[in-house]
Amino acid sequence: MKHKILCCIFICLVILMSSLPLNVLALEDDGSIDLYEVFSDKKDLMITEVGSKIFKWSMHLPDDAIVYKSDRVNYFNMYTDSYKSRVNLEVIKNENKHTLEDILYSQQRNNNNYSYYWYFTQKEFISTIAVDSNGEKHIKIVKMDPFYDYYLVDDAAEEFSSYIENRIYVKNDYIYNIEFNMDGAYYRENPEMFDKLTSSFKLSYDTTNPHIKELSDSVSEHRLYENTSYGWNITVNPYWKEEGISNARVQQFNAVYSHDEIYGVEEEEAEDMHAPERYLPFREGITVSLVSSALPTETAAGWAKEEVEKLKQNYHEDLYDVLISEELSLGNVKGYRVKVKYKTVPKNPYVVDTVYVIGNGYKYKAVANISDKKYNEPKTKEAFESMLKSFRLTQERSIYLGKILDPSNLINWNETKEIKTKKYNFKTTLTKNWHTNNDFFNMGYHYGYYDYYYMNHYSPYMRNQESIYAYHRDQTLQLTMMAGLDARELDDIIEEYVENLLYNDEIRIGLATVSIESAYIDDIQIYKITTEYDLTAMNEFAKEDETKFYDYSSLNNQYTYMVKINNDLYTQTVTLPVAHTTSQNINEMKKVWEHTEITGVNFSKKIRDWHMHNPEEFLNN
Amino acid sequence: MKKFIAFLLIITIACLQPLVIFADVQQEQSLDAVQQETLEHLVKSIIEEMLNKEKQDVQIASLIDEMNESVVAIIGRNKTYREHDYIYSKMPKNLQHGSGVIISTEGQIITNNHVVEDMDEIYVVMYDGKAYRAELLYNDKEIDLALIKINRQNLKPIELEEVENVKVGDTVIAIGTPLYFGYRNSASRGIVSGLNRPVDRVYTYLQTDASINPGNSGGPLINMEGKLVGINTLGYIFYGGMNFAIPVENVAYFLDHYKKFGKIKRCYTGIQFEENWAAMLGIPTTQGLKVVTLRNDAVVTSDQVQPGDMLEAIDSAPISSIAAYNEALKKHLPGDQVTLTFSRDTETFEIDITLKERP
Repeated sequence: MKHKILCCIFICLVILMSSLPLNVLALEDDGSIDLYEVFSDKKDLMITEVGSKIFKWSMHLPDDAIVYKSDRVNYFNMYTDSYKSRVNLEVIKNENKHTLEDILYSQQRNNNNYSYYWYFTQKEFISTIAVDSNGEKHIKIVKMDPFYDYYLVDDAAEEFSSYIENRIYVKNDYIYNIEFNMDGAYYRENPEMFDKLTSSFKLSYDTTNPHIKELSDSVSEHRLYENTSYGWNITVNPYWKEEGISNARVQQFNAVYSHDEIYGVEEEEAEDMHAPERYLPFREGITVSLVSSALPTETAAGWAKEEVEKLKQNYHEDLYDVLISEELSLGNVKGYRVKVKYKTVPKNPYVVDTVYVIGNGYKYKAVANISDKKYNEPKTKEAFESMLKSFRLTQERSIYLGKILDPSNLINWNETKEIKTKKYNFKTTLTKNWHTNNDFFNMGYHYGYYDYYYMNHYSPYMRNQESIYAYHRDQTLQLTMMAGLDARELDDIIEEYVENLLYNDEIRIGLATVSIESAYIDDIQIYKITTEYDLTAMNEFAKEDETKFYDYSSLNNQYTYMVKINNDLYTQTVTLPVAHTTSQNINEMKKVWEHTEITGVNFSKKIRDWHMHNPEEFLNN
Repeated sequence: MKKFIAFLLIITIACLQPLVIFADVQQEQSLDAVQQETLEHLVKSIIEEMLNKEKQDVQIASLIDEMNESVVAIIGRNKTYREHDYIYSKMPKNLQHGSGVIISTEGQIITNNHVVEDMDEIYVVMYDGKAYRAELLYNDKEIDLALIKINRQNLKPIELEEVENVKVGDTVIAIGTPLYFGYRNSASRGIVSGLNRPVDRVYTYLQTDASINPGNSGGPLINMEGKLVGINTLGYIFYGGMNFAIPVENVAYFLDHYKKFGKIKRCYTGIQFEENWAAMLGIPTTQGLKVVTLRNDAVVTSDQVQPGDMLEAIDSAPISSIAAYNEALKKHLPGDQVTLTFSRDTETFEIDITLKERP
């Protein structure tokens, strides 16, 4: 009996199993496939609304609608043919706490402008403060977009070719500016369709409603980003996304929303995004790059330590702290992490957290840049660090990826190089560390298709002054050498120069000093004028006064030499940013003058003593 | 139409009367007779032409009606489409469509490779609006043809025209789904404007002025016998009447090889050629193809052929373009023996080779 039952069940199952594919095929074979079902995205099939959880809004989504949106979904544009309508929404932070009345007043005042071209003019018929069907107070502006034609007059179109309702809401600390624009002829016949659209707009986002499409949901979860050209992956934080083309050698990841928008903050904590004290010399985010091919002997730790050494040589010791320097495991590869806090912007120190990785024959670098203030917030710190540590090497690489040579190892940077002016006998002998605009590094127009044009049509600047510029390869020191006719007395020249320097406010209040020295070689007088900022005093000043703001990377100490020979003035100036004022860079600066020759004479070698001047003596009484 | 012809006759006769009235009574009777005869002949030819035209119109209408059953629309999602975050719509953004033509009663359909190549699933919509999922049997990118199959029997296949019956000037009709899927089975009329056009430097094409737009791809170009003369494939977008179809001989070649071998068995010499600029511009030239290099598996050795040599002919047929070279090899199967004629400086030499199958 038991066997019979089992046998029956088995036969039934066989019949059921074998009938399933036949049914499926039969369904396809009868030609009754519904292509709407086939081509619809199953997860979107029941979606009838769209919205933004972050900016707290939602509205009806017609089935045929096409939505264009910004990454943050603060700009939203929807076109629907079935409603013959277009909807535009802009959401902006209400930083100045505007009321509806303020906005209406300002809008009406701006409208009293008769300079509009007639064919752009929209006709306003209603401009008031109203309450919508959800009880929300808003500015309601009803306007018509008339159809103008030079020759034909359509009475109805004269009234409106488009019916437009503009609503402005102030809620959730945002200003919502939404405009519904419906084809005029369609509106005349179907005003209830217009009402359906307008009344569907809500200043809330119901997270429990499964029929709403969250327009930033593609970035709202952790996602694995795979760079299949260069062989790595990283787990991207929620509300972050990659920028630019995919699979790039240098891939940038940024937060789509601000910290405040993602995590929410108390009102008093909200900061002005554009305040100068929020300045950073970079865009916050994480950058992953394949730097170059690696030598078999290279290690991540060795590479990182070299980079730290370069940093120490290039940054003033008071302007950085190496917070972390440690090895870490990234899957089955050892990486090396260096976290540095830079204080070059005293009001807004920032952190550069770098993970160095060597694997698969290449050197990779994942770098997080962020303000120190944000990095100290647990959620943001966690977001940055977890993403950085999620970096992994993979075997998914382009078959075309070959050797990427680091050319800096091919050049003998200590090899000498002459930098000189063309007409005047004014030159200095430096190393290859210095580049001029004539070097190939700038990829200037000289090397383009237009060589012929420039060679044959270049007309030189016919003046008796000439200058040449060079810059150090670390982008720290800048050299300017000028020579030219100047018939004034050298004392007058220096007087004017120093006077201009002394007008500088930081110098006036003692944050920087100007030192003026001179020497004679035979009857030739040489001036050396140095302007140096006092870092401690600057820091104190910036700290004491909230309104004062500096970036030491762009604030320069300046070292100038002036020599007048006959009627020609020779000036050499080296600038060095305060942030990069280190003993190594100062030595590099000194070498410039020490190797300079003017009219064939190296004056630095001849000068025994410098005579110090009081700057006051150059001020005009 | 009949009313129009009657009206034309009346007008013609009315116009002729004054000629008779004002004829010089002094003219010889024979001249009158000749004039009269000429005019009568003219009228007769006009009427004949009009009647022919009417007949052809009726024929075209019934031909399109008859052939529509064999023409299908093909649609699917393009799997290579990269989603962009700034656009959202329930409407799929990666749908692409084309046309096809039934070639067997058991549901085999031929279309362009570029119509179905990137589709993740292929769907066929018949003239009666029924939709079927299709299976890709074989496709070839180079010849741009694909063979698909649906599970439907007793279909009406199109007949392939014999190559020698396709002449420049033949009236042809293109049927397909241009631009918008709602325009299924749109027909346009034209003529065969040219044959053996080297459009893509791989194979030659048939040129027609029948309107072919995006979506027509893969649809049939038929003649007045209702036979397939080409598969509509491409056209110049900003110019009028410059459209191209894969000629029926290439369709037959594709199908023949598929039936025999399950794929196109292409011949291979392993010699890499460079086309001269005149061939690229379509300027007639007697220059051959310049040898660039020999692959390791080439059918000739470097002692026989060197870079810079010119391939002048295959089996005495002159070769001056890559398309002509491919067309010449198309006539053969791997294993066939052919004679290649080369020139080097002033010397001409021949080499007998056995063609290999392209890897």
